[in-house]
Amino acid sequence: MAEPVEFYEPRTIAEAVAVLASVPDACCLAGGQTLVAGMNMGPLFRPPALVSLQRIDELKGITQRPDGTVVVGAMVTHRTVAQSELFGGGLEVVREAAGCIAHPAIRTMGTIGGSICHADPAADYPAVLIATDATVVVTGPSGIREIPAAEFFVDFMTTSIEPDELVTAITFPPAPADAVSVYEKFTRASGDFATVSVALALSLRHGRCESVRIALGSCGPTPVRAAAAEQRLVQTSLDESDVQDAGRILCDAAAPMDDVRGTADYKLMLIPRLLGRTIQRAQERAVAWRVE
Amino acid sequence: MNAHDPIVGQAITFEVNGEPVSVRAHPVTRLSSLLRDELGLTGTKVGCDAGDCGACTVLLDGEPACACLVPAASAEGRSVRTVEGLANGRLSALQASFLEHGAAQCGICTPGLLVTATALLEKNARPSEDAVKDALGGVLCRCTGYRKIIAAVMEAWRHDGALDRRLPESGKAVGAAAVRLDGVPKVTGAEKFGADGFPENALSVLVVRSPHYKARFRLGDLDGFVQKRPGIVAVFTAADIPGKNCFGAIPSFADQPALAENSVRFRGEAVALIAGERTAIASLDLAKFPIEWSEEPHTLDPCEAAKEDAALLHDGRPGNVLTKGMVERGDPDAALKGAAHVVSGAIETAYVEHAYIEPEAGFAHMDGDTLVVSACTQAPHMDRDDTALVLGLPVEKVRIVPAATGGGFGSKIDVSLQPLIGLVALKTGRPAALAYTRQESMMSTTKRHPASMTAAIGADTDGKVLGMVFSGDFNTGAYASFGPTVANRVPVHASGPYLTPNYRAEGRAIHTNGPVSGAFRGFGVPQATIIQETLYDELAGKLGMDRLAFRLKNALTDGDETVTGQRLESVGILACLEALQPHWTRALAEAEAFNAAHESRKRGVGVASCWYGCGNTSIANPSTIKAGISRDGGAMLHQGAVDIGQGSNTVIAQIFADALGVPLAEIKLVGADTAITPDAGKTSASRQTFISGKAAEKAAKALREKILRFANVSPEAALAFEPGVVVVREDEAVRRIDLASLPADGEGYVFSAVETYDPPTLPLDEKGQGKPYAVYGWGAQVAELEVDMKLGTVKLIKITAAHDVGRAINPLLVEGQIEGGIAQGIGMALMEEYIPGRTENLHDYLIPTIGDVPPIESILVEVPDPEGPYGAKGLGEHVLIPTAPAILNAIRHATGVLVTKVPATPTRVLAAIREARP
Ligand SMILES: Cc1cc2nc3c(=O)[nH]c(=O)nc-3n(C[C@H](O)[C@H](O)[C@H](O)COP(=O)(O)OP(=O)(O)OC[C@H]3O[C@@H](n4cnc5c(N)ncnc54)[C@H](O)[C@@H]3O)c2cc1C
Ligand code: FES
Ligand code: FES
Repeated sequence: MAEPVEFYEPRTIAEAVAVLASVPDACCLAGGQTLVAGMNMGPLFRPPALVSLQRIDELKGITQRPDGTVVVGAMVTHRTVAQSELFGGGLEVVREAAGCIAHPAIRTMGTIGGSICHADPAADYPAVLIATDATVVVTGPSGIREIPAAEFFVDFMTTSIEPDELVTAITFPPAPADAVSVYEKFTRASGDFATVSVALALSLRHGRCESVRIALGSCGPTPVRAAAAEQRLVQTSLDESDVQDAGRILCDAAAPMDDVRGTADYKLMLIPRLLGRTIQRAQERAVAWRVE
Repeated sequence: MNAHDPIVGQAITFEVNGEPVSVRAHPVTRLSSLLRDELGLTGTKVGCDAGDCGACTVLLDGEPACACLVPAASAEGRSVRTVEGLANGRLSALQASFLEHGAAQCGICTPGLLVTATALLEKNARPSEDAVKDALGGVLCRCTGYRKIIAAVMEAWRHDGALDRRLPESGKAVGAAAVRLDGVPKVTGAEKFGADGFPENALSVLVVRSPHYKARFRLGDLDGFVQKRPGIVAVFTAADIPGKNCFGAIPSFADQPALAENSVRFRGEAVALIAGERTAIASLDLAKFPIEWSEEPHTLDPCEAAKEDAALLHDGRPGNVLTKGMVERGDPDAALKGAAHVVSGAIETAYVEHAYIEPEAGFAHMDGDTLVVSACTQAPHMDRDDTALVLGLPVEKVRIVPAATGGGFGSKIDVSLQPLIGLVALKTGRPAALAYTRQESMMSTTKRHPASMTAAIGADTDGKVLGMVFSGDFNTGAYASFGPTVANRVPVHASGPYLTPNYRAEGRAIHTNGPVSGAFRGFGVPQATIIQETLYDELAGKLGMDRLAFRLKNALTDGDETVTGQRLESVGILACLEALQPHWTRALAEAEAFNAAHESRKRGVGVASCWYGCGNTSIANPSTIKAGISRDGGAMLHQGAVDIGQGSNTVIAQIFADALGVPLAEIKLVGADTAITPDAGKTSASRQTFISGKAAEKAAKALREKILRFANVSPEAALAFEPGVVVVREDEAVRRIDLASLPADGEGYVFSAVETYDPPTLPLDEKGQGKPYAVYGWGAQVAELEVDMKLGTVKLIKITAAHDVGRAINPLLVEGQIEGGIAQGIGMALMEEYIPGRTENLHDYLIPTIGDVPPIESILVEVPDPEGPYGAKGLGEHVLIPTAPAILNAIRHATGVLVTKVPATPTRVLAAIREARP
């Protein structure tokens, strides 16, 4: 199929930035699992120029810094994250989320950079980045910027990067040694986007909550986090009433919409119930860990 | 190369099935297109172009990837494996296992499943069921219900690739679980579906469709549009149609234009065709097409449409009522008044999309002055007649050569693209090819009718049903299609397979500006059965009776009269319900034990039955089968009953083989092709095994008689074929008929026979009394499930299905039908709701995936029918009917509440639970 698309295949981040800066309306091509699916829908959805990131080796690795920070290149695929040993404890939520994105064939090609840049509120990574307090590393003509995840997702399918910038990596700060984390995804069928999802990272000491971060997916234009809900849980033993209160606060912060995956009412009703389930799974994980 | 220069066309070098290849292509050409269009590897299918169906899955460096989403540049330097690379001189163990398990029906999903499973098996030779489900989760199959696929993958390790076709010996074909005769090409990727055989020089056709539900339109400067665009050859509109611009599955109701004239009645209606070179069409921007729309108010709601002041969609159909059907017997009102217990209720169902994995596709070309159309279809002769009518050609000048059909389920009975590509081929003289996009397929083709139904049923204190009234409005959409069939079939069946002495049922098909509703497995009966069977549960509850016992008490038996006054024989429903009894008892006990121990999750068990008349309702629907013995000694079966995966190629051959008295292996299939196979009618209404099977039996017997008469032997003589010779044995005497020495007819046959069978039915009178069908099939299913009381989700645990098929001509194929029908019933019950404009793809519109179908136990009941061939009854639609009501009954058993709007999504289940206990 001949298409009037200009195609670039840079080998380095610097080259990619240079092309993005010089070719108007050029658009990055990562795994293509969202972009190409859109292009297949017709000429309307075809960008005039594509900059493939496929050949940039700098974007492809997962590494761990001495302080425990895990750095994931933008072109790392969902499959690679789902199989990585580097995500445990407080970062297990990353691996867990990657493993339930779409189905295996999509996970072969789809990348973490592509997912977060698309910033679909129903996607799995955005909430995870918020719950793990991750940072998005971006390179543009004027250099490198590090954007906290909370400032990266600004609106429905909108991020805070400029058209001539590119996401190069995501850094996940080390979690406390005793932290556990869980990703809970509610779907209509396996492989579907989330109706509602909960990403949770938690530290427990003697059954009491030391610290917690919670982010919801599919509950508004960007991932939903409510500091008050987290405060309500800190220093509690996470009893039913604590969880219910936190759930209520999260519901107030959420703004889900009616769609084919469920009505807004239903999603609001799901939030506290999924939160309860997520916290329970985290507690079980904490116990299992201590036993090991 | 300088990174600052764009790459235009370049050689893409990669490895395909171990061989290096280099293709000149634009770097964003999709891998699916590279493989199919450039390399001719059409085993990789395209079902959605969006990552949703998995039909295009290939292995990229050993891992599954959707070829429709991989740009050529991303495949550069990598290794690609496709279905064509799996067989290595012989079938792979997995391919053989697929065939032996009956895991491929239509076969369109098979390549994607095979390559994905191959990747799994190479890492894990003996995977668990969960591992198989995880690995194959992204590949959809609409035919099989997945259970045989799971088994085929799990058992592949036992296999060495030597295929055991299980071909039965002479006289034992009927009842043998033979591997489908047409199976091998389905697992090698060789099968040619609608989009797989496009000629190199074919024009591509693009259909301009209405974005509006109701609108008038004016076309602008079409010539200018064509001239300004290199590669675009022509635009055709209604004005170019040489014949009658009107088609419809039922000729007396035909009302749908092939291309709309000035106004449209539904979103997706075709208004114009653009023909051009493939590359020009692929990059054409339709936004510039010169058409001016003026939208008009529309309605998608049959209640609105049926109002007195509503705008009419069609002249001569007041109240937008397309047609009404009615059956009345006894005095139902008095019966209900006098009944000790009466229950009543209302149920609503949604539009359901057929969602076959193959969108409509095909090509047309001129062979002299004959138009040849090769496309997927369920009804080649109807296609021929409708295409000829629209194009103003005599029927002999249209030839339909069906492509392999990647699922149909009713929607591929109506013509879709046949007249459109026919028009382009006729007008331009060039071959014309078209493959619908997924969205186009979903927007423009038929759906299951949404139904809005009420009913009341009364019983006496002993639990005997005294009477029932039923009324159903069926949203038939913008055009007639099979709306009349639904309106007529439903009243005949709404009683369920139960003795109902007093009865009135009315069905109406009402036009709206929604998608056209037509044929879909069961023609409205699955919807009607939901209300009847859920009311039966309620009635059993009022009576304090066990729900299965209540059904056993009321089930029809031999000699009973149906609601149309037909006296029945060979009634199998009691046998089916009795076969379920032990499963029912076990399931109830297990649910009770579980529920005693759990609060937030509750288990439930439900049962529902079906009966279904095979063939058209009270109207002629003959099948003709031709057969001949060729000079080289081949037994040729002209089998025109299109096999869309259900298995007619195999089942009809089995019947034919036994009736002729030769081994199944000797039978050679010819067709389907309207030029060489006589009309075996449409593949619908569960009619092919019964009606075409019977015609095949008659043809085989006639052929046998001719041979025996020639050999001057008694009817007991045995036949065998050797090259060029028919060997006839009687006792010790052997006679060899040297075929080459005998005269042959124009087709090269020394002996031949053509036989027709039309089932004996009687018309229905004005009260719907008569004998609408010659044969009925029967069945009942038990659903076991678990409801999460906090989330409203339903997890199926098991479905047990007992079906009376009269005689299971091929038990493996029967099971395949049962499992596939149940999977569609699950979709209808729990997840499928087509919303025009919102769910026109396979990620918003979900169908069951491999993770959604629980274990299914099939119990084959065989109460032979005196009319059917070897006692066989139809089956294809029956199997879907009990599933949804059994599931709804099980949900009520688990939760105490009935969901009255189907599908029972978590949102609805939870709302019902909360409403019941605030
Ligand atoms: C059938 C299907 C089901 C899916 N289900 C899920 C699901 O359940 N959960 C989920 O989270 N996702 C799901 N996805 C989306 C999937 O995860 C995609 O992989 C992801 O959204 C995009 O990643 P990609 O690498 O394919 O990016 P691409 O499609 O290549 O790009 C996506 C967008 O990001 C931009 N972009 C990409 N990389 C960069 C970069 N480094 N810097 C700047 N911009 C960049 C592109 O220009 C483009 O606009 C599904 C997709 C499909 C097709
Ligand atoms: S065609 Fe590629 S996933 Fe459907
Ligand atoms: S056999 Fe799977 S879709 Fe037909």
